[in-house]
Parts: sequence; structure tokens; C-alpha cells
Amino acid sequence: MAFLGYSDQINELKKIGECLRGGDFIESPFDYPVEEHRRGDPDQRDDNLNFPKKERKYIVINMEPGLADAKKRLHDIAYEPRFKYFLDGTLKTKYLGEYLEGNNNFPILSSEISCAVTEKVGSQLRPGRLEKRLAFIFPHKDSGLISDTKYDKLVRINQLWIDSGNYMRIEFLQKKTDEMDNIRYSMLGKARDLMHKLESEVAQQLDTDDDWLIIDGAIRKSLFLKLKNTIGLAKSFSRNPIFDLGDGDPLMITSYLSRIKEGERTAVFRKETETEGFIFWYVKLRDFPPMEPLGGIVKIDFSYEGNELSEDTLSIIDEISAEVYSMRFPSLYPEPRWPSYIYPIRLAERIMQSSYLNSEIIGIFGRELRKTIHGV
Amino acid sequence: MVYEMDAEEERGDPQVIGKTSSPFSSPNTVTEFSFWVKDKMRLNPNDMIVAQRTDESRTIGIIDEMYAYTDAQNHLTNYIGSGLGDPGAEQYVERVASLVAKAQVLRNMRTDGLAENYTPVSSDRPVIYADGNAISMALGYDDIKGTAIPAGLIVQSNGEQYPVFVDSDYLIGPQSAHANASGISGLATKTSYLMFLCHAIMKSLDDVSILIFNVKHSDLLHIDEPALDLIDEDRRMYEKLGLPIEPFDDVHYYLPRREGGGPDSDDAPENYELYAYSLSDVYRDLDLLLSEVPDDYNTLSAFTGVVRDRWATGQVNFRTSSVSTWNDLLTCPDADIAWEVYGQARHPTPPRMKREIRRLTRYSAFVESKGPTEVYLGNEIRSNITPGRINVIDINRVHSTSQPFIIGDVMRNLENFYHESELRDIPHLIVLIDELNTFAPHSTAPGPVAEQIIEIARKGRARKMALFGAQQFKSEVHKQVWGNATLHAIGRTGSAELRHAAYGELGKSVKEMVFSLGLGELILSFSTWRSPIKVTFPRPPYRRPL
Repeated sequence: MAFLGYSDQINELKKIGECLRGGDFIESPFDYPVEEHRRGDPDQRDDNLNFPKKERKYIVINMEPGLADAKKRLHDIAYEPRFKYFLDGTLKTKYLGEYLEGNNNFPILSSEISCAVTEKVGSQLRPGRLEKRLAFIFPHKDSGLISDTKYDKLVRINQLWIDSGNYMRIEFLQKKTDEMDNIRYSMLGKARDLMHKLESEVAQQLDTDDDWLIIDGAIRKSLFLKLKNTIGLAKSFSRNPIFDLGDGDPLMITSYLSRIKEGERTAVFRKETETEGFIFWYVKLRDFPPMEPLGGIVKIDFSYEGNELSEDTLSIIDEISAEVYSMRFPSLYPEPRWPSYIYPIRLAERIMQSSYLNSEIIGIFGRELRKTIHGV
Repeated sequence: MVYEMDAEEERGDPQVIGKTSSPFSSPNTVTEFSFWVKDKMRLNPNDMIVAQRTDESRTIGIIDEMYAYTDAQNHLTNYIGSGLGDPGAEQYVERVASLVAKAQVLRNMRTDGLAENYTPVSSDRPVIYADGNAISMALGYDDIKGTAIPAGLIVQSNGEQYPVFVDSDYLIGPQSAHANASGISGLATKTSYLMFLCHAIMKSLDDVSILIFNVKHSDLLHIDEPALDLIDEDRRMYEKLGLPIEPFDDVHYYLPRREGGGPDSDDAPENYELYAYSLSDVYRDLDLLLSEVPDDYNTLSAFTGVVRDRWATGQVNFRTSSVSTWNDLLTCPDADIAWEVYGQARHPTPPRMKREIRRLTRYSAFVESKGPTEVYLGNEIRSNITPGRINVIDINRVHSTSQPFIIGDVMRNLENFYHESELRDIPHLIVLIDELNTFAPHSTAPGPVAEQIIEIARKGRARKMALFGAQQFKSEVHKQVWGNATLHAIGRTGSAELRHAAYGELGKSVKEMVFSLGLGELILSFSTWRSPIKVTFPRPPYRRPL
């Protein structure tokens, strides 16, 4: 996928502006904040979708009922390193401004979407794949906010970009206006979906027949669950699940996880309402210096179908847990959430950050869009 | 100026050793730029490198400092990352680490003939080792006004060696002149370097004569004999420098007279002349002889002035006493001297003066009258300053109280000779003095001997006289002497000494490097270069004591 220079990006962006002529555009005067800073923890939000409270399906079932204290010490578990790939995706989304035409108006967002992989070779990390998209997000065509003609033109521009190998994209919301609480949040959600899609595309290109892959965050979507030899590793996670350890006294997450000491994993769980899909457990990477109750804990999602765990599966789970535990070094202190942040993922994030567009340049997108729409 | 690419660069395949980096936190500037270094690349401070700005524009730099970065934000990060201080904690992966070098800009150059580009080097530009052509541009070989004098070799970390040249017009005049070498004894190789430089000058220029004072053992008493200690590496260096391995030619040695005749020297050379001083030789220079004696009320200078002014037909008279020899002077009645000099019968100075002169002329080279084979240096030197001639005066075993006098007397005669002569008729003269701090010490009120040396440092360049001085501590030498030097060669030196203003031309990282220089390694600073550079040089091509 070809990244473009600044002037080429502006020239391509002007095509959107020409398409939107006839309307008005009020640009956002600010380079900051990016949209992601306006909302909460995205990892936790993703994992909340696994445990939607309003459906009351958040009881999780212990798949290791015989495990004493529902936890296992990892210090003595030997493992052969299996993880080679570490994948992360990031978003940098900017509200460019508001498009007005007749009685309709809608926001336009641009989102810089990246996905990077680091590869472990021996004890060293090497940069693997880096994929990027620059997406401009518009409302659904049936929302009534955008005319059919303009929609068709935008689709054609997008197709031209795809055909030419351009990394720019025009994307549309799938929901109609009346299904959304807030169109800007929905657009941000769309950007996040695009990021997951890009992550999935990149992951599928990795050779995971023998080597394993860690994806940063919870894995929920089926496109992730189909990936072979892959786990999701989330440093923050939903507080919704209630743990049924089989003793008739379900525990809230903080009660249960506070029992887990450094170098221990929890029992393996699955959702009560789900017999297929994924199983999950938690590993405590560290408990010193003193930290908040869920600090230093990572959640591991693992694609697994079935109600029972075989000995082999349990053995793999133990080895995965032990290897994840060993990833606590080197540390990322004093970065935010460092106690549960692993270095290879952070490096992938750094690689993406090093290729971010300058925020001033993103700010210019809105200006150029306005000038083109106004025919200046 | 037009920069010409060498063959390798022209093919487009010079080895890229890194890329420039100009982050927001420490951007490149007009005078320096940074670059990250490719893994496993051999690179060291003082290596010269080239940043390729565009196809037509290059910037040559010299590595000033190197940094080993990791992404650990502080020491605590590493402590925590190692199991809270457990040295045995196993790291799952190694941290990302990068070597970053900071280079001082030496020169910007272009291949298209346009003017130099002085703007800072931008980010992400490839960096390669400087080749001979780039180094020649960086050190301004294209702008040499006189003759290019080999001054050492740059050894790059990729194993390549390139000769360094200095402009003779700036080394021995007329643009500027003088060289100064400093460093701790033994390791700093200061005298060897100055002698190497003299060799290079003599092989490059015809119109030069050298006067050397030998102050240590027989170090410089066999410079016309082939070297016995050269190794293959020395020979290779001479070849790179384009210099023949030959001892000095046309050398005249002057050795001090010993008691009873013969030379008072260690390991005397085969051919020499003895020098000695009778009063009639130096009656004008008694101020030099008494230069170390306090003379707060100028009573001594009144006496030396009378001797100088009233000397006639081989003597000076004090009332009824005639004085023509040292002994005459020492036996002359005090009253006669007092009356003649101070206009009174009694004065405290004559007995003091005689005590001092007795002490200062105790050395065997001070004679009542010279023998037929003995010469007075002042006259002898005047007639021996000829192109290609090297005069070596041994003062090694001369009593330390008399050494300044000998140097001062020679210098005064030389200065007079150069004053009296038409410049076009005389060759350039290099005067090489070791232990310069003894003869021109740091002082607010220099004595007559120091004044002679300072005078050359101050005005010598215009009179075709250059001073090549060496000492352990430059800070102990008079500021006028080192301050006027164009070329500074600095061998290994301690940190306390390097804090002195005399080393102001060295940056912090260069000073740190000076602590660890080895034998045959020096930092050279030359007035036409933008930055000091590290050089190595071969052992001198003459016999040295083993």
C-alpha cells in the first residue's frame, strides 16, 4: 500500500471537496484533541462488548473446577518460547468539521489507522509489517444526510484509490441516523472497526503454522477467532464478568483477581451463554510496587471450541501463561499502565507512532476541504 | 568550490553507515548534526563522515560525541525491568537500542559549483564514511595558499587512512605561524611529533632552516642518522604521507664545552662544534644572564647597561680597572664598579652582582677565552642559517641556571639577524624548543629570555621566523606564546590541565578523548579548520636513543 506525500494527499483530498461542492463546510479550528482522547479506555470498551451488561449474560463459568483456589502458580512451568509475532493497531482520528447542505448537516472525520507487527528473532525484536489507512468517514447513504449523487461520487473516488494502491479510503457508517445516539461517536466506532479489520488482514498474512501471534487487546470478532495459534492480550478489560467458580458463590472481578498473586494465573473461563468461541483467563505479571486492584494483570483470550479442556489444552494454557508472565521484563515503567504493558506490543505501537501524520497536517485537511468545497 | 565525488561514491554504492536524525527535541543546526548508526557498524569519535543532503550537496562532519540510546526512560525503568534490582532477571526480549552520533560540521560542499549550503542537514539523509576527497575538502586543501605540508594521518574506523595537510603559509608564515605541542611526559610524543613535522617541512620546502635546542639526553643529537626503531606500520604511514624515510640532511651540532675541553653531552654525535662563552662574546647580553635575578630597583640593569654601552676594544673600564674577562669582572673592586655605575663609592649591588655572575658562570662553557675549536653560538648561528641547514644546540647537560641564557642569547642574535637582513635573502627559520615552560613561563612580567621567545611568537610570522614549542602543560607557558600558535598538537593530558583556557579550542568530548590518547596519537587543531581532529603519525626517521 503506497503512502503518499503531503501534497499528494492534499490533491487527493481535494477530490472529496470537489465532490461536496454545492454545500458548505465549517472546519474545526483545532488540531487537538483527537477523537480518541474524547472517550474512555478503548480496550475496556472492546472487552465490555464481550460482557454486555444489559443482556445479563455476563456470568462466566470456571472450566477448571478442580483447580485449587481457582488459580495456578506459573513459576515452575517450563515452556518453549512460541510467540514470534506481536500485533497492535492504533487510531488517530480527527474531527475535520461539519458539512452543511440544505437542512442537513453531518460531521466529517479523518482517521489515520495503523497496524504494526514486531517479530521476535532470538532475543531481539525486529519490525515486521506496517500497514496504514487514511480514512475519511461519512454517514450512511440511507441516512438522508448525503445525496445519492454525492454518495456515488465518493464511492467512485474510493474505488479509484483502491485500484491505484492509494492508502486513502472513504468509508460510510453502516447505521442509519435514527439508530445512533451520537453520529461522531459512531464514526469513531467505525474507525475502530476499520482498525480491527486492518489488524485481521495483517494477522492473516502472518505465518502462524508454527509460530504464535499475540494481538493487543481483547479478541471478540469472528475474524480474530479464526486465526490460528493466536491469543489476545488485554492490559485493561471489562469489569462486568461475574465469576462462577462452582462453589455457588459467584465473585465480582475485583474480589476474585485480588486473590491472584504475581506469577499466578486464574482458572480458565468461558461465558455462561457461549459454548463456542473463546475462553479466557488472567495472569498477574507483577504486584509491586503497590498498585490498584486490577493493576499488573493481563487478560488472555484464546480461541477454543468446546466445554471441556483436555490435558493438552491445559498444558498449552500453562505454557502460554508462563511465557506471558516472562514478558514482564523489560518493563515499560513509567508509562501509563506499565505494570500490565508488554514490551513487544509497545514497540509495535512506537513503530506506528513514528509514521503518524503530523497533527498540523491533519489540521490542514479541514482547511483544504473547506477551500475546495467553497471553490477557493 | 566544487566537490568531486570519488569513484565509489560516483557508482552510488558507498557504504551507508546510518541516517541523519533531527528530532524536535534536538534538531540539527548549522554547526552540528546527528545520525543514528547502522547495527554492527564500526564508528568512533573523530571519524569523519559525509551526510548526503541531495545528489548535489554534501555536508562533511567529524564525530564529536556518541550516545547509546534505549527506550528506557530512566534508570529506574531498567531497575524495575530487571526484577526490581535482580541482576539475574531474564529479559524476554532485548530493549531496542540505537547508537546515535553527533557530528560537528566541517564543511558543506556541492558537486554543481553553486555556493555552499549552510542550512542544517535535514533528517533521514544517508551518511557514509568520508573518503580522501571529502576529507581534503573538509580540511580546505583546495584553499591552500602556500605548500601542503603532511601533518599526520587520519585513521577512520573503517580502516582507511588519509593524510592530513596543513598550509605552510599558516604554519611558518607569512599568514600566521608557530606550532605548539603539549601533553604528559612519555605518552604524549610531543617532541617526536614536532620533529616529524620538521621532517615533513624539510621534504616539502627548500627555503627553510631549523634551529633545535636539545634539552633531553641525546634525543636530538643523531637526527642525521637512520632510524633503528621503525616498524612496518611506520613505513606504511610514510608511504601514505608521501614522505621518504630519510634522516635529516645537512645537520650541524653544537655541543657545550666541558671542563678541560671536549663536549659535555650524552652520546655525542660524530661531528660537532663546541660552543663556549667568553665575556667579550656576551658583554651585550648580561641582562640575559641575570634574567632570573630579582632586580626591583633596576640596579642590575644599570650595571649591564653600562657594560653594554661602554664596551670598547675588547674591554670595559671601571675607573682604574679594566675588565675583559669573567675573572676580571669578578675581581674588579666593588668601589670601582659602584663609582662608575652608580656614582658613589659604596653600593650594595656590585658584590651582589658578582655573587650572581659567579654562580651563573660556574658552568664549564663560560671561559676566560675560547679555544681555537670553540665557537660563540651567537656569531656561529648567524652564518649558519641557510636553506636546508639544521642546527642543533645541545643544552641537555648545561646547568639549569645557564640554559635560559643560552637560549636567550641565541634568540636575541637571531632576532637581530632577521631584523638586519633583507627578508628575501634569508630562509624561513623554525626554532624548536622543548620544555618551553622553563624558558617562557606563564607570568605577568616575563624576564628578558622569555621576552625574546615572546617576541618571536608575536612578530615572527612576518619575519620568517616560526616557533615550534613543546611542554607538558600549556597552561604553564606564557599566553602570548601558545596564543599565537596556529597549530596545536595535544597528546594525552590530564583533566585538571585541560580545564585551562589554553585548551579552549577543544570541545568537551574532544577533551575527554585527550585523556585516553595513546602513543603516536594526537589531537591537532589548526587555525583554518573548523574542528580539531585526531591524527596519528610515524616514528621520526632518525636514530633515537633506545
